[in-house]
Amino acid sequence: MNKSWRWLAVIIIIVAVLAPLIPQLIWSFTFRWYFPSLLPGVWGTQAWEYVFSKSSRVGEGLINSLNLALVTSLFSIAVGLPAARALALYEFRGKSLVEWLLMVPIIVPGIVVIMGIHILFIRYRLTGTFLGVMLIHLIPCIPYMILVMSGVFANYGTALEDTARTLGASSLQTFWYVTLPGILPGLLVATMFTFLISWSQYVTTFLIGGGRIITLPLVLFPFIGGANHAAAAAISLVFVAPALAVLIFISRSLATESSIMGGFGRL
Amino acid sequence: MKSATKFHRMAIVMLVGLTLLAACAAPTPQTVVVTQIVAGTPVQVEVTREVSVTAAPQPTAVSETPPVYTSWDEVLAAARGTTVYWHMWGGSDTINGNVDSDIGGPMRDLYGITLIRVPLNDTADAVNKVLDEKAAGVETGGSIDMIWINGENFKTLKTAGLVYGPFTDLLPNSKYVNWDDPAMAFDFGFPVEGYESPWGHAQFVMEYDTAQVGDTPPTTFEALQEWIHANPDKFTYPAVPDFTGSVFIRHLFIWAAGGPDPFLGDFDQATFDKYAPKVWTYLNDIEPDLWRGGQTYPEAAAMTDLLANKETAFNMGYGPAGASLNIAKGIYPETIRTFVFDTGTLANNNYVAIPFNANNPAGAMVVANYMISPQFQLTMADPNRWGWLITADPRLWGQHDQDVLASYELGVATLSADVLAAHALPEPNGAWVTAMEEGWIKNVLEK
Repeated sequence: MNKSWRWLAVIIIIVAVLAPLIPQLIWSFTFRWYFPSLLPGVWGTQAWEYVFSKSSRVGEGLINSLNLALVTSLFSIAVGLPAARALALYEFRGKSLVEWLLMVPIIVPGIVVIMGIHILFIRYRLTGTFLGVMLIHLIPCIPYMILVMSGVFANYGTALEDTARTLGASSLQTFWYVTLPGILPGLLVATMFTFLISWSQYVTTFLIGGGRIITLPLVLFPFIGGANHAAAAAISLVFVAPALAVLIFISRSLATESSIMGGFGRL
Repeated sequence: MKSATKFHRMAIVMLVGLTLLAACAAPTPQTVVVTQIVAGTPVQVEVTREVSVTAAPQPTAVSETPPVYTSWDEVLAAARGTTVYWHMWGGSDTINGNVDSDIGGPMRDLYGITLIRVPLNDTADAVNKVLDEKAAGVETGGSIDMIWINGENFKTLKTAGLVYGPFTDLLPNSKYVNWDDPAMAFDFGFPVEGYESPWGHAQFVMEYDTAQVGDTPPTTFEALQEWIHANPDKFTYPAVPDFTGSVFIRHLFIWAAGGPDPFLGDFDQATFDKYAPKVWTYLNDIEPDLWRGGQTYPEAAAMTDLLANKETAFNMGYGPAGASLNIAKGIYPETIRTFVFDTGTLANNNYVAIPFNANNPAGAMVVANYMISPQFQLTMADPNRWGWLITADPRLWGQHDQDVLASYELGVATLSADVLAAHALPEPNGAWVTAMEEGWIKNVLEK
């Protein structure tokens, strides 16, 4: 494919993602802004002052959200990678049932499951703990990890690994020098999914976190229905920034390492 | 046709799976008998709660009971140096900041109590959490110490026996609350009986734009009707069951009945049928001249935007000082003012309740006690800080505190406490509200 066309596509995607954020940026510096003015009549920084105040709990939420999204992603990889490989490369009885069961968390509305799990977690004393919130975030994350990675493994096949083994590589060496580099770009995409899913959890964090674990969505969502658009815009920019950083990082590695789209594209 | 059979097989597998899943999650009603021994009086309550039966270990330590206190000194001793988790609606930066500085600050300085606000999107979320904890057998050490609550949410918890108390008699500052006033002792017609402590008072007011309406707003429903017909597209109200929309309809019922009395007792269909037609006729009459020809009704939050942007000329809501604060915060232009209907407007209270299984009921009581102190009520009434209506009766205060209250200058768009008090109406009982909401959907929305 022509390289300049690909860059054009990347630029269009980035503009499409960033353009909706411009009004948010303006709103966050607004004091008075009424219809039909194109720009605010009076500008102000009171929304950002609130964001940086201790009362907003934005800083605390940011740290918790980042920690949760990272740890959840790591656990998703630990659980999802072997499962994806097995589903992609092996045939066994009841495989389609297993595949279907693994997809259930995306099909069934979360709120249906979460109520039962909440009671279970209370009994196991997992509510109000980082571990509990991380476990509940894993439920919607794992299916995406498996979905993406089984596609990658299916395309990748075992030929290269077999070759490495015949040439005397140990299984660990094979994984480190052959398998991992091959699936890494796909793994980055899958990790981006799990990161963003954990990042945007509200109901699950609210119920299981029990008010002890405050994340950004918990701080942001009450403002969205409110009348103070400036504060809502400022907090949502803080909410979007890390997600955007992850997206840009991934899209850059997609643009440079073209081989990876093979597995992802045929999914 | 091979793919079709494969599809069928897959569909059947999914269906079976879903049924299995539904069976696991299907709630089975269970009757739980709860014995609560609080403040010396054993109360037996039968609670029917839908409990999910799952293959899980049985709750441990069911024999634990919530702590009981018989004196304020005991409460203070138990509360000192603890942490209180207060679950409260978190969508206002003003309220969040004020709670931290004006309640959290003094709690830390006076008692070493750390007050942690847990922001809620909807108070019902906290109520559900308490119900879940009950179902899981968490009798002590629950995640919520205190909830900002009133109306239906309180009724749900209290009817299920899931509130701690009665505790208000233990609070020394409870003497500043006039419990003989039915407006305090009943929360939306439901008896409080010491299970929740008030903090702020709220009264419904209409907001209008003097630049569009002029200086004399329509203060009767007849005058409002005329104004709407003369100025089409400039008035609207939120669609029921939106909270604010529901309140607007309640006012029309009170106008139709010539007073709030018929709706204070238990629901009565004959009385309802007597006044309802007048309300539906009124609302259907104004509908063609509402904003966007009455084809759509906005949400309450959008009403603020509509008025700010002069798309409409009116807004409505429970905060008498809300318009002044919105002007100060740049949300409203400076031409917005408020009025109350000649037939009166509904008033209610904000309360705090303590869940039956609160981890720290003593700490919550100390916070609740501070919130009805003259010191905090004066801060709350300060138009430059909160601008809320006080819930205490200032006649029970010392002279100095009364003078401070009298010295406050009202916000530019705020009506005086006397005018508001003279027009305050008690809230109808919950059953009436439900009937009114259902009636509106059938007789106005679907007509």
